[in-house]
Amino acid sequence: MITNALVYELFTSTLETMIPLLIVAVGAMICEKSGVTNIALEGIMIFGAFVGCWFVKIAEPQTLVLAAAQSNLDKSILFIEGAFIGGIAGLLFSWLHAYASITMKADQTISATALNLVAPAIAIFVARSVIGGRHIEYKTTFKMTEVGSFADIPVIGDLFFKNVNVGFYMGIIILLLAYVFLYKTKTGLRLMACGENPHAADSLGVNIFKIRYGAVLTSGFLAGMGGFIFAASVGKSFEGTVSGFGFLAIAVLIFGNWRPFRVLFAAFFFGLMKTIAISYSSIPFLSALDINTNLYRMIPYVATLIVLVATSKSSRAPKAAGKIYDQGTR
Amino acid sequence: MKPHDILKRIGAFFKHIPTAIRAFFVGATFKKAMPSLVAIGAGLIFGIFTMFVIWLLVKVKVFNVINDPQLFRGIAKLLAGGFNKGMNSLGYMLYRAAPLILTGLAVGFAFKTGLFNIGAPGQLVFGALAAIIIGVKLSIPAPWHWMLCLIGGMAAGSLWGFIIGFLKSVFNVHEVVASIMMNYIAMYFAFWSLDAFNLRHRFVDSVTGQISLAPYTDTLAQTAWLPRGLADVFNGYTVNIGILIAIAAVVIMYIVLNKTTLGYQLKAAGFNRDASKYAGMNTKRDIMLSMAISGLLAGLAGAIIIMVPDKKMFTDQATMSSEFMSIGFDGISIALLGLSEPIGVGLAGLFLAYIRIGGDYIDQANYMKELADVITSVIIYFSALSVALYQFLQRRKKKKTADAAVLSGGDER
Repeated sequence: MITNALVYELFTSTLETMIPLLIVAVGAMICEKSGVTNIALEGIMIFGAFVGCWFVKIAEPQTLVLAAAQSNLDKSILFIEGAFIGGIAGLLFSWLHAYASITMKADQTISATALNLVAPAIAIFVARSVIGGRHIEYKTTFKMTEVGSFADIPVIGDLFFKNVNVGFYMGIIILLLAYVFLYKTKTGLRLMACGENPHAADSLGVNIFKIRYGAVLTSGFLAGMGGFIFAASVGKSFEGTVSGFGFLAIAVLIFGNWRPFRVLFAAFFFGLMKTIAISYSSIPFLSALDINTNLYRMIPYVATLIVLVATSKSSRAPKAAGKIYDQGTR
Repeated sequence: MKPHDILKRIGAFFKHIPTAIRAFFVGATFKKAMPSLVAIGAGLIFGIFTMFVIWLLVKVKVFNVINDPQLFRGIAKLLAGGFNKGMNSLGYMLYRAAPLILTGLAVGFAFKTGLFNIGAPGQLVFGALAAIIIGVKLSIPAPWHWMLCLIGGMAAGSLWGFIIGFLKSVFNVHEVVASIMMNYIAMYFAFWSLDAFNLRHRFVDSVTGQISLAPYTDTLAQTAWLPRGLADVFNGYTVNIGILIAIAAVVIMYIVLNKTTLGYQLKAAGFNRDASKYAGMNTKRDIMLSMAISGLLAGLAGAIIIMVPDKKMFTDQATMSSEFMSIGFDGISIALLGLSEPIGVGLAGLFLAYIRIGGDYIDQANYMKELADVITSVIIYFSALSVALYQFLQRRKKKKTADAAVLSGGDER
């Protein structure tokens, strides 16, 4: 029997997986639309999560009892602060990528690979040097069982206002802001022009340099934030990994065809598949199949590939993404 | 031939050596390698500086550690790298370098042909999986068994790479996404296969007498181990032929890329896919072929990793990614540092193994071994900058000579 409770449980679990992917993919979208590819997201996420979790460890109530007794508001404020600080860390970290790939006109893959490599190494190196172990552990549970009186609304309350952390609302707001920014403001349209035809944009007086810097730093901020949100929703300990979510976010971006609401759909689809893969044993007709666990674990990746096969013919990647902008070339 | 002539020839040969060396240092090879060398220097300086800062912070008691880091011992250990225990650790370095060089070649080859093969981790896992299935399940006499393992590993990796190329060329699926998905699929497929082929080690509980499955596989049959030897030369460390395979791969890839029509064609597609299509090359076939070759090399690396005594494949994600998949990602760094040139990749692979071993030894001076990875990534970052800087200087030089030419031209008139 599929009960309502099971549906709600699967749905909230889907949201939990979806949100970090969505936020990071939105950052990647802004970055790629300005013409800079950013495969450093994995590293930036790790760095943001590392700094954010460390902040939470310092800022939270230091005893288990007090940490458990925090109200929803306290928790949410701590969460938002952690996400913000993680975001700032990500922004500063992504500066390295921006400097190399925009100012120095270096190969974008190389500097990004360096960032991906350095982040986990720094996280583990610093944690082991200062704390003495690779785990950064904290005590606060960010998930809220019920969000005020919103939780009493039938269906919607169960879907969106129970067992969530505040990251979900942040993710949706960020998506809407990104949409409005890209398609409804002058700067946003200019940014997209930089990614399609930088020479034309330059000739119209758009400052490619500034716009690309802004885009890379924004994606760094969002990736750092996404990293913290990932770490905060997975458990109470961070150990220098975000389980490949940075790469998956790039996959979600390409799957979402560089469009905000398709990215939302792609993130949701992937989150749903991942939830099914993890909790198949509580879904009656799937557990009845009695297949090896590892085959279920493949579902999200195989399903994404199948969808990509079906939709990639009409791919709309920004034309100048990944290309170095040099005024001298034609 | 008279002895005199032979001596003359030998003399002539030696006379050429200084010229060859000089040609290397002023020649195009050295100029090309310059950015990487500068980056390596900068990275090492950065690493030593970090060690100094940590030492200083501990000295002034900003944070406390159980064992104080020893600055000079640490620096010596780090720089000594593969020479820490003389020939012994040098043998170990060659052992570690072999799969690194092969994955570097895999990624570098794909770069050369205009593809970003971030799927090397998955191809490597697949190669290792094929080798372990053949190595555990079949019993064949020695030379054939390990050869078959290698071939199986290459075929499996090649297949996994080919699928990515197929998805890209036929369905226009971006190779980066396809690669990332295929990496995860390969990992879970491997876990599934270990169950499906009954590869997991069984042990009998001494008390209850029940048979249970261990979270790791059986080891390969002895006939499937790579030939090993030279314990005398490497002071007790037994090296296997992995490094020879890697060197052979470097030579073969060098020839394929530089001396064959196929290599020329694949490289042309890397420069400009539209132009090579216009010139009548089958670019769709080329994509599949490059990915298959790239996957073959990564699969070979996976097979080499597993074909040593007492090596097991574990059934958990953390071990799988640290023992197999991370080497695939290292391939990206090595390819970048080696500028995707086979010989450069060979040297970069050796260097990474060298510095990693140095990192292992700085533990003895109470530093964390992750420092080696920090240094490597700083090196790669600087190599990106120095290539750009080098090109910038070249451009300026060219512009200056062009200006000078214009000026002198004006004087003549």
